[in-house]
Amino acid sequence: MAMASGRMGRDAKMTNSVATKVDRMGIPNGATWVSHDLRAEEAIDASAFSALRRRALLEGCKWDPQVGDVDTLSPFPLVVKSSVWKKIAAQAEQLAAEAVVAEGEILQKLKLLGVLGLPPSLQRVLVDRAPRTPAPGRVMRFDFHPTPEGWRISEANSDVPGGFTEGSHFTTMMAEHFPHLRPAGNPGGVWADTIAAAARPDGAIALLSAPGYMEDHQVIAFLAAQLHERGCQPYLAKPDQILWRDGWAHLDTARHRGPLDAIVRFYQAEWLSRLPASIGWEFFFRGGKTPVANPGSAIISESKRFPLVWDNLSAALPTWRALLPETRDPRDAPWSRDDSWLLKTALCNTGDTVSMREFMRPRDWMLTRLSAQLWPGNWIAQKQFASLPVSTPVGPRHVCVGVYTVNGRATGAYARFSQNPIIDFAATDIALLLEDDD
Amino acid sequence: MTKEEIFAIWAPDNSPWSRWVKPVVFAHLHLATPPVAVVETTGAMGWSPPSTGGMALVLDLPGAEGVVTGLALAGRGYRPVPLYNALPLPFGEPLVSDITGKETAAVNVLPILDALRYGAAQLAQLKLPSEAPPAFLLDANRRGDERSVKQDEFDNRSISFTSDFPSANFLFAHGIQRVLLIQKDRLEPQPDLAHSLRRWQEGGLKLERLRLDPPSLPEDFEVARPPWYGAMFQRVLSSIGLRRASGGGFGAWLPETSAGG
Repeated sequence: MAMASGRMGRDAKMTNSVATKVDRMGIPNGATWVSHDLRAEEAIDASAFSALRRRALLEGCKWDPQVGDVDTLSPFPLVVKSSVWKKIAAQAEQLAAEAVVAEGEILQKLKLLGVLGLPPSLQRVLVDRAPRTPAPGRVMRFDFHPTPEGWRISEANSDVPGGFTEGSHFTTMMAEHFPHLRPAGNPGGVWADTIAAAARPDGAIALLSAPGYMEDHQVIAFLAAQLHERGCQPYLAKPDQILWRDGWAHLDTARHRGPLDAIVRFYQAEWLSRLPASIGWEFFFRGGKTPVANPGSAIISESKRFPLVWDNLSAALPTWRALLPETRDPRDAPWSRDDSWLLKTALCNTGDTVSMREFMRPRDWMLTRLSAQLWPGNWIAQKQFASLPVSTPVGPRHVCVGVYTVNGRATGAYARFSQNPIIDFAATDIALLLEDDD
Repeated sequence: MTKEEIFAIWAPDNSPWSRWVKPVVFAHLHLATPPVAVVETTGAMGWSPPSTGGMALVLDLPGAEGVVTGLALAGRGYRPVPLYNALPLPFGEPLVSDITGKETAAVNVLPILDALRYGAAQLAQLKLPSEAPPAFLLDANRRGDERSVKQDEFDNRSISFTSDFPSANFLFAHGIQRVLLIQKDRLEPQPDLAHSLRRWQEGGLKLERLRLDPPSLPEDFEVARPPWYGAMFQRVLSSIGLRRASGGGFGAWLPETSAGG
């Protein structure tokens, strides 16, 4: 592997000056490939980054800046040409539109819901005839990866996407150090605008997460701060503090007791469905009158088994078919003898169950294999794609660009990189900035 | 001092341990009004090992006691590393509800905030060297002090994860070979912390422990494999539908992944 060392000039096109050999992930041995759509800038100086990092932590609700030995904030940004951004942003908008149409159709076809690996209690509520609970808006994030064949997506974060502070506050601060570059958008701000617009000017909005998990708290705390700036009254809560009366949601806490204008949940649909029936969790999906974001139907395209029902739909889903790698039920794919397939659970959250034998300890692979064989309906097998690394000041890195859509419009990005092709909770967050085309 | 200045004192650029300082309580320093008097005091510190012995400390002490003891240890050459990871209260709301007169949060973190604020000046004066070994500070009440959380409370209980600490390799690379767990009135580590200690033990670090009240002498110990230990087992559990309960974990507080993507 040939690789530049040390810092490179700010204007250096690092992707053109470095030859990187990738000998796995579907790229022939000996070939030299790097992404030409992306490049990394040099890092900002250490003292400036220290101050920036402190602001991210103290002002931007970035409360998990360190995961084990990994510093999760990158001191250098990722740069993409405007024309490339426009292309993947347009694709994200197409993906969002196609997903919403497909979700509506699947809700009418009860048999298909059973394919998605959802808990039975959730399936029962989704097929109920009660009116769907309204939503103040819809946010989705599609995770794009550069490959030799162009951009591909690994998945959609359709139900409870996170990463708003990294994609908004941190990215904006990084852009201040690169005057010739600009952020791709402000997804947290746009999402907060959308929610606030659905409420009264000083509306009470509950933001839900599971207690005990700071990486979840920071997402809703950041959104709460954004809503507070817009004149709303945000309240951080957990689902069992919501009381439903005639379909209207009320918050029942020592801080606020009364009706809510809207609810934002950073609490996955399948977790809600495992709460006691007595708390009325079904109103988050059906029969509620208070708007809830994201809508319950989001769990359909969140399921990694979503592709398994495409052939039974009238919706064509051309963008999904073009960008998502071939996906099969584990019973229908040769994953156990062919390492070009990976496994992941139907409701994989943060990349935590993405399983590739070559990156796992034998015991872990054995347990994954056992689980996929015992409960294949909860897993998928997916064809691996060749992730093209991007040359960075810390060496070649695999990159994921998560493109947000809010109500179907692309609004910005949350980018991460990792040393290996699996982008998970321990990946490093990196600002994605745009540059003009030559 | 501003919260930025206070944070910079507790997480200075020149310490290798600063990366692990948890920022959430510092982000809320401006909320601790009116200030809560720090009433905790340190007892005799004779148990404190010399800071030149290649030892890291983990102080799992209730409330502000960890901060106060951490400051006393700073005077003996240790770098206190706050790992408090609970949201105090959102948006400056009072600790006691104006409506009900009841406490609004499950875990009262405000005394910790005040101890960090008032301890900053003291810590700054010590001018600790960059190679000072770490004394990691945890709130022993973080999981709610084993009481039931009331329905209407702000549930700010927190968990200590293995990823909240440096790896054994990192500790070794910085001259640490042993870890001393200090708790107030118990010897066995709390269930969440046991995962981190077990990781270190498997990484080759020697573990010791002591209790402050009643005092015990430092003793070697080994952490048995905690229930559900290891990420892979959690993967399998999640794949068959066993997810954390609303209180967290499979009926208990356990390290697991977060909600969103």
